[in-house]
Amino acid sequence: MRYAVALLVLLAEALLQVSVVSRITLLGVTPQLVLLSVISWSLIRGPAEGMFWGFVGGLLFDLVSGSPLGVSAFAMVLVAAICGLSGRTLFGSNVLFPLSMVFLATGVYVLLCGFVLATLHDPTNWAAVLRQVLLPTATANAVLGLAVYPLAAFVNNHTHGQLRISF
Amino acid sequence: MARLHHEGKGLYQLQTSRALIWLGMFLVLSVSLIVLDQLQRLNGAESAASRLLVPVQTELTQKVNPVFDFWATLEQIGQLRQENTRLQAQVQQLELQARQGRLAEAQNSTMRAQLHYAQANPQFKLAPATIIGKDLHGLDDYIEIDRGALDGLKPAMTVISPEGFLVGRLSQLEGHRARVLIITNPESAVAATIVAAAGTTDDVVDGQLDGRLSMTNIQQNLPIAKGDDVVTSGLGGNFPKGLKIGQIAAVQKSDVQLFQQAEVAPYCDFGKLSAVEVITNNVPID
Repeated sequence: MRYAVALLVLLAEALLQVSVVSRITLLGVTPQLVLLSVISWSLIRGPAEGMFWGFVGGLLFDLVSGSPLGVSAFAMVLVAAICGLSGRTLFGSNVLFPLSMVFLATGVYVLLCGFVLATLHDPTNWAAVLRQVLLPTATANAVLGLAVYPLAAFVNNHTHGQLRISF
Repeated sequence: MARLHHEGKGLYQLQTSRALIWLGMFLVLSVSLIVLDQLQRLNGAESAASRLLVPVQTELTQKVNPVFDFWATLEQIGQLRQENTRLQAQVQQLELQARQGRLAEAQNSTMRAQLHYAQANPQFKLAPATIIGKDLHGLDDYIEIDRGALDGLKPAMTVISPEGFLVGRLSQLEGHRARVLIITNPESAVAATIVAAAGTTDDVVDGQLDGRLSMTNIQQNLPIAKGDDVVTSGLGGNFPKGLKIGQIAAVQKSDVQLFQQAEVAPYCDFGKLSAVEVITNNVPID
């Protein structure tokens, strides 16, 4: 039941992302709700849960957004692994750490998606991606992370690890 | 303590190794999905998902549309204000152009009427003039024109409208300005002829204080009726003969009186008059 709720939350985020949030611009770009949740959850709960929910969230986002299936899942799994492993090592070292990780992880996510899409379709103008997408999106996500990360921590504290996934 | 630390480190390494294995599996799964998707092997699943998700997306989008429309309007307020100012200026400009257009049309119409009358009445030598002042509601009804003595005008010359209706006669002249005593002025008296169905009769059209025209000495033996024409008779030499003055508007007839009385409605609408013609070759004899 709790996993179904988590699944529905990610699905709702993906739907909101495509239908509502995509019409809101922050620093000229659209914040990525699903990605933010996956990054925050990975930082808090480690790589296992991060990768699992990253895969699920990415898949849902691809289905809803009409992207080639698996692209977002691929990028989010890698980002979740990085965040999960880093979070377990460095968690609590600095209050700015989670926000820095959101910034960096978003950058990695954009690069990975760009790389996969460039492989599948046309060559990408990387300078434009860096200037017009990566930096603004990473900054916007970091700003929004100020709200999402504490929310994820709150959910974690109140579920007492009931959503635990371990390998 | 050292043993505990050693065991903790070992657990961490074990978890990391397992995480990397699962990472590899998820990545293989993701790449497989990408490949299958590119090979069009997942179309069925994607279509099924679309059938479930698209209605939700559509509903969600429609629900939030008013909110975004409202927000977009708020964002555009500054722009709308600027556009409003620009459009107001444009409207004023266009209104000015329209006014100028209407004025030009009116002038054109007046000039056409003047030309038409001049062609139809070659016996008159006409000097066109523009009205520059009016007082139609006081005791001394008059209009002022932009031609005067230096333009060859003389006192008592007859003034007509562009259509040829009698307006009055010149009373006071300056260099390039003259006052016209209009026929509704109480001081005005015009020798006139009533053209009735049964014949004609002469009388005088007098101006009244209320701006009306009256005839008070019409012979009893000629039946006159509302709508009969009243034109200048030419008697006395003050006005040329045959100029249209107005129509009989009301008749008062009594067996105990010697004459009939009639109210005359002038043809000329003095309130709307903007230009006149002065007949310069019919100078009255003093």
